[in-house]
Amino acid sequence: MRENVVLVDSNQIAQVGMPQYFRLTRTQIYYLLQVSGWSAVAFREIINYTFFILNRFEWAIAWTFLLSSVYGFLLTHSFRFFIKRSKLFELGLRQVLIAAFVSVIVLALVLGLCSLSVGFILGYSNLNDAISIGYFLGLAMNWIPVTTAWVMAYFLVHILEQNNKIAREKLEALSTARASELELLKKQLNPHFLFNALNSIKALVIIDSTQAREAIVKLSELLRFTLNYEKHPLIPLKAELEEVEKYLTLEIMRFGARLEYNIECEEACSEVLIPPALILTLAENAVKHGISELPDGGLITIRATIHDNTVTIIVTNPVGKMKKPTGGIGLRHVQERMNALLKNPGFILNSSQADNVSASISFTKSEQLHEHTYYYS
Amino acid sequence: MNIRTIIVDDEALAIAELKEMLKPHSIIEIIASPDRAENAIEIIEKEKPDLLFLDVNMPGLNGFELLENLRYIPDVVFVTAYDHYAIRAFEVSALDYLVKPVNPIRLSESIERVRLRRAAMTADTPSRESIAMDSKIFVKDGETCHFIHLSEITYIENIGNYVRIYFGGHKTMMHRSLSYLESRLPEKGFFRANRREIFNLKQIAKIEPWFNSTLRVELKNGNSIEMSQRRSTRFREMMGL
Repeated sequence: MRENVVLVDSNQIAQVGMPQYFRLTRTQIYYLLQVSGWSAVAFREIINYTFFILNRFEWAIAWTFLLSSVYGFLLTHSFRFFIKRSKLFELGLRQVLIAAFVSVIVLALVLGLCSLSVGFILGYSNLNDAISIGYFLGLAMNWIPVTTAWVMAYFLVHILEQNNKIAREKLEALSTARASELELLKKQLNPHFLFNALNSIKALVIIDSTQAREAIVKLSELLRFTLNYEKHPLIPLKAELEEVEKYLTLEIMRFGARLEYNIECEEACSEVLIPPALILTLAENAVKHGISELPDGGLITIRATIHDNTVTIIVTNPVGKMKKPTGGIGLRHVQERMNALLKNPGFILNSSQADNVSASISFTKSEQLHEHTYYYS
Repeated sequence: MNIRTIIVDDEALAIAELKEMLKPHSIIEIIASPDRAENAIEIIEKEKPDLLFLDVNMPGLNGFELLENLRYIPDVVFVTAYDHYAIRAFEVSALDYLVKPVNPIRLSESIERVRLRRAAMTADTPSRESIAMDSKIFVKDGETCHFIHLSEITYIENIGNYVRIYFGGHKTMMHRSLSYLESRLPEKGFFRANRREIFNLKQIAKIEPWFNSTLRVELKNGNSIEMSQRRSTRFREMMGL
């Protein structure tokens, strides 16, 4: 049964483990179980009376129980609508169990009342027999095993289904999170840069092997930094700028005279702590959306200043006429990490100048200098 | 016979690297290696090389845009570092492409393919006229790239700022005016039927007189085109009808 429940989709297209031509929808399964269940109840009572209590068959008995079963069917069927409307199974287990218990009792009482009326309708009882509350409660009691079975079956299916739905949703959320994490990781590795750098180094091996060897070291260090930076929440600005410089010199190897850079960092802010790869991401964007789009290239400037404990770092790069900056996943990640790790973070992308774009980040200098020790290798 | 080759890449080291790798292939004769797409167009039009090694990511004009601006299109091998969109485009239309850093075996395969294609072409010894018809145009429609041989084109129709090209059972859109395309197509092979359509003269199945002394052309792919009065007169003159 459990496996069937797994396969039963909440939208009617149930696939019970049967061949194609014998597959039933959820609703069909429900009606099948209802009809067969209630028939079984009536049949059992009729057999019981015919063979063990009266020792003879009586139509009155048969009609009584058949009609009772019809009542049972109609009652539980309308009860199902009520349950569906109430969205009971999205509540906690406690509420569901209480509801189940109450349902068993209420259904049994109503069915008891129905059983009373059966006698009148079929004309087998008179009013005097039925008037006692004891008789009514007895009838209701007789129904308790049946309603218990019905409620248990119905509730069990729904509880399992609900569990399944929750598990599936969790799994879906997890896989979405994984996918975006992977996308970000790819972004961090900057594959376009990586393959181009490798290609340049391949050429350099023949032309200038000393420079090729230096480039391999720089590329390795940069790669190690990129792969490890999530381990350190904050690093000194000085260390970050060293990585940026490695990156830019590697890009110069590729772009030649088309790329120039100028990094200025006030002495007072060289030890300021920032999330790693923050400026590296901005520098990568400056190359990707600036230099690599311009046949004549240009100058990238990075300036870090401090004023009244507020640190401002501005990365400026030239852009072509067509390009307008777009806030991609890289910039979004920069902002997320700034918000998480810096005090009073601010991020401005300024493209109002004719042919330059500047990305400017600002934050209040952190006081806890030694909390996150960074061992720079 | 040497394959006259031009390398286009914006990075000097990438050009140096490819030149180095091409050294063992004596069949390849490098005649130029411009590092700007704009210069490349001029050089290619002038030199009419047999083969182009073309970088996809370049400033100014990228590789695709460069091809779209060429009147003469040689055989092309794309070279790209990492551009999954571009690579997808190549896979769809089975164009040849190499990824940087280039694997020497893949490079040899590409050159061999070009050599075989050229050998097959020269074996046909085409006439002068069909040489023009044998040239191709490059069309990038979204993520799909096509090199379309002019002889394959059935007709071209104007749709707003675009033209739709029908060729060999396919069709594709190009962001160009019909007049621009008309100026690029060989006069002897194509005919402007009216304001909206140009058709390939070799693709005519049937010509019949139509209303007001115009002509109606039925093409091999089943489409039919009605010529304007003025163009019908021109067509009659041209064909000596």
